Formats: sequence, structure tokens, C-alpha cells
Amino acid sequence: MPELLVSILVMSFLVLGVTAIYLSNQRAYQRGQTQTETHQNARVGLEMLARELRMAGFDPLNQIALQTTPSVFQAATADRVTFLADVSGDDTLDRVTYRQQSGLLLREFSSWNGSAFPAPTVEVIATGLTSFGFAYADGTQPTNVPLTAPVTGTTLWDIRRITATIRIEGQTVTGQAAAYDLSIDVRPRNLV
Amino acid sequence: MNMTSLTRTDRESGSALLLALMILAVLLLLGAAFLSSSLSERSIAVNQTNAGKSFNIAEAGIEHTRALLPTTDIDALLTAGGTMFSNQPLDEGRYSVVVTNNIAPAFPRGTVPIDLGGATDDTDNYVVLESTGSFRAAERTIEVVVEREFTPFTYGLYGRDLLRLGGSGEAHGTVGSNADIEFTGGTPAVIGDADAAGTVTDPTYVTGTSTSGADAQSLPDIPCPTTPFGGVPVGPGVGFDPATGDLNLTGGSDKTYAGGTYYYRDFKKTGSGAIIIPIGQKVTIYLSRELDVGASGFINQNGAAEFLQIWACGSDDSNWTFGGGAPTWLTIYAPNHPLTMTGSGDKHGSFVAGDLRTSGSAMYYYDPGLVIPGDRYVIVPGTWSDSGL
Repeated sequence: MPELLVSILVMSFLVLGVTAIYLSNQRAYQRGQTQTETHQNARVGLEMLARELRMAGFDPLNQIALQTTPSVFQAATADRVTFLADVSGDDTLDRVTYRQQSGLLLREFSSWNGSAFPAPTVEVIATGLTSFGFAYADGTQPTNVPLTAPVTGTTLWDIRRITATIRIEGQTVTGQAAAYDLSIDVRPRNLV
Repeated sequence: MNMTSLTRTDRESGSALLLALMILAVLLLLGAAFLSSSLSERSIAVNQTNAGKSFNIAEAGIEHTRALLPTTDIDALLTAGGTMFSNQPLDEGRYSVVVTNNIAPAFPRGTVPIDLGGATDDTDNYVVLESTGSFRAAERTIEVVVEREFTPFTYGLYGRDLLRLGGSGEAHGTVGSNADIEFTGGTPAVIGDADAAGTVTDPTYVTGTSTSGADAQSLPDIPCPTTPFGGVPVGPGVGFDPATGDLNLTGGSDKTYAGGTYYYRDFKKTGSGAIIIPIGQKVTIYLSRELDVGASGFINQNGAAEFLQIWACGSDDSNWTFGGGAPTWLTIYAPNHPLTMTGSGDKHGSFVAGDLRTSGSAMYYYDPGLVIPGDRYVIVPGTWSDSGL
């Protein structure tokens, strides 16, 4: 009988220990998983942003000329960029905005209906942003000259290069804060 | 030894193995789950990298094609189906590029017109490129319309209405005309080829190939600058009337131009002084009416024709004369004007006029530096698209 008690005692300690280790590992694993997913989303989101920015000005039916301000870039500030391009490839001009709002990277999309851009649909592209910024430069060769954000008025016509930098909050598995930086550098192909 | 202990030993033997197996199974399960998740993470990353690479490879296909197009027989390529590259290897990927003409029903589209030459005859210098890059499993397609950039300076001497070579001088390089090429001077007159949309009247004056019935060149009017007339060279004997826009250079002293764009109605030069284009200064002159350069003429110290460009703008068709005793480098584009080139100074560059006649002992040399920056296919803005993943 005493052996049974002792062995139960030892066993329960063991099970408790193993469970504790398992749970902590599980937490670390979940945290890592969440973080990987955040990073993955951010990476894919930035890749999407890069592709669409590269196509900025893709206008197969020449609909930019119909706009009140017929410039490819409609707005260009440090945390927001709005441009015109048929990113969906349906021969209809689209207005696309990427902007940051309380730690989220948002994409607004609206397709030209012949007379206006209707209210955009908004989707979340990436989460967990601690900082997000656009920088702009003109097409001067051999080195692009930076344009100070916000870029406004006629200077919007000069944009030839966009850099987007994104920082995502995160933790290491041991719980220490860690940042994850990503950036893209895009030269729109439709601007000469 | 008693029964109890015997029985317990019997009953418990092998339990460690069972326990170990169970623990092992649990660990194996955890490991497999972890492995599969990291494998899927890895494959996401690999897919993304491959997609990026296939995009870059597709773009390389576009660039490769654009580089080869100026020296490609476009109509022959279109007739043969338009395949510029088929699975051209690059690194571990490959690209395929197809060239098509801008025809119905897809064109006219946006700013790109329709080519009435049909599928196999490029008459408007627009073509459509479609490049597919692939890397491992990823594939991406870029489509773009490119246009041959307007370059009037592909001939040494080019007369829209007539090219008449007179005097004892020779033309080195290819000469051409949208009409006939005539010879009234010494022989040989052309060290090179002669291409006439009409006829080359006497091929014995030409050392190279004479082609009659060649393709005519498109020689559009150039619009005049929107800025007012003005800008003058520095030196004595410079007369400029801002009201009429006429520049009159006289006297025996040299005049020097600073780099920049100048615009006049008439440009007249008499007297023994030369007009100097200093090294590193690029001078572009637009004239809405007349050019008359005599005596010493221009001295372009750069030794390259692109540093002195004279353009006729608008539709005026008054007579132009260009002479001078000193060798010089320049380009003249005046498709509406009859132009007489005289003087003993050798002229390097490219000269395009309406009725173009040469006389005197001057030699004409085509400046090969002119063709490189001009003869290329540029992307038509607003036509570049990427299929995405």
C-alpha cells in the first residue's frame, strides 16, 4: 500500500510537471504560430501592394484622362497612398488606397462606374503594425530625388518611385518584445 | 519469495515498454504536427519567392525583346507567328515572349490606335509584347504595348522631296529620300548605301547597295516651343529682335553659345566669325522660319552631332542654306524646307530636309552616335500589366 501511495504521488508530480511543460510549450507554439501568420500576412500584403503600385497608371481604356485631377497618384502622404490603375484587369479603372489605421494596413478598392468612383470596399491587409510609412521620389537619373511627404498638387505628377516600410510588433517565444521590419521599393512601370 | 511479489513481477513486466511506446507515440504525433506546419510555412515562403522570381524572369523577357526589336524584321516575325522566345532559359527559370500586332478586336484601345496593316504587317510601329516567366511551379505574365521611338537621324542625308548630291564632296554613310536621289557632281558620291522610295537615278555613284522603291520614312512636323523667342550667344555682332524673333549674327568675332534650348523665327549668320559650341554644352535651336548660315559657320567643340541640334518647327517651308568653312558636328531636321548645303567644311551628323541639295567640296559623315539613344522601343504609358500570381 505505501508503495502505491508513493508511486501515485511521484506520478502526479510527474504528470503535473509534464502538463506544465506541455502547456507552456503549447502557448509558445501558439504565439509563434500567430506571429508567423501575422508576418506571412504582412509579407503577402506588401507583395500585393508592390504589384498594384507597379501597375499604377495601367489604364487600357484611357479613363484617367476623364478624372477631375487626371494624375495617376491622387494622394500621397506618409501613411496613405491613393492611385489609379486597372488592378483587377477588367478594363475598368480602379481607385486603390492603402493606408494605416490603428495598427491595421487597409486596402480600399473602388471601380470606376463611368461617372464616379462609388464608396470603396475596405479590407484588412495586415495587422499588428507599429509603424507604417510611405516615401516618394521622382524620376531623376541616376539617383532619384526624394519628394517630401505629403506630396501634393502638381508634384503628384512627378512620383516615380515609392518605398513602403512596415514594422510589426511581436514577441520572441520567451516573451521579449521584438520588431519585424519589412519594406518594398517600387518603380511604377506605366510612368515614363 | 512469496506469491504476491511473484505475481506482481509477472503482471508488471513489460509495462515500461508500453509506457515508453505511449510516450514515443505522443512525441511522434507532436513532432509530425510541428513538421507539417513548418513544412507548410516553408512552402508558402518558397511559393512567394518563386512568384517573385517568375515575375523578374518575365520582365527579363520583355527587356530582352525590346533590346532585339530594333534589329528584328517585325513583319517576318509576325508572319511566323510572333514567337520571339520560347522557353528561353534564365537561371533556373525560363521565359516565353510573343509579339503581336495591335489589331481588332482588342485595338484601338486607350491611347493605342489600331494597325490597319493587319496581323502580319506592322505599319504604325506599335506592337504588343506578352512575356510569361516561369520558375519552378510559379508562372507570371506581363503584357505591354511598345512603340518605336521617333528617330529621324538614321541617315546621313535624307531628302523628303529630293536628294541631289552635287559638288566634289562625298557622303559617307547611308543616304535616303522619300522621292528620288540624283547626282550632279563627282563620282563616287555615296560611300555607303542609298535608299530611295522613288529611284536612285544612277547607282554607279554609289559604292554600296542602291535601293529604289524603299520604305518611305515618317517625317512629322515638330511643334514650336510654347516659350517666347529668345536666348542669344555671347560675343560682339549679335543682333536680336525680340519682337520678330529674328537673330542676326555679323562681324569677324566669334560668338559662343551656352547649353540650352533657343527659339527664333529667322537665324542669319554672315561675317567671318564662327559660332562656338563649347565642350559639354548641348545646344538645341528651334526655328519657325528661316536658316541662313554662311562663312565660318558653327564650330562644335564636342565632336558629336547630338550637342548641336537645329529643328524646324511648324509648317513653314522657306529656303534654308547651311554653309561654313570649318568642319562641324550637328543635326538638322527640316522636312518642309528646301535645304542647300554648301561650303568647304566637313559636316558630321545627320541632315533631314525637304529638297536637300549638296554642293562644294565638303564631305558628309553620318555620326553613328546618333542612332543608339534613338532607335529603341519604349513602353507606351498605361499599357503595362502584370497578371499577378
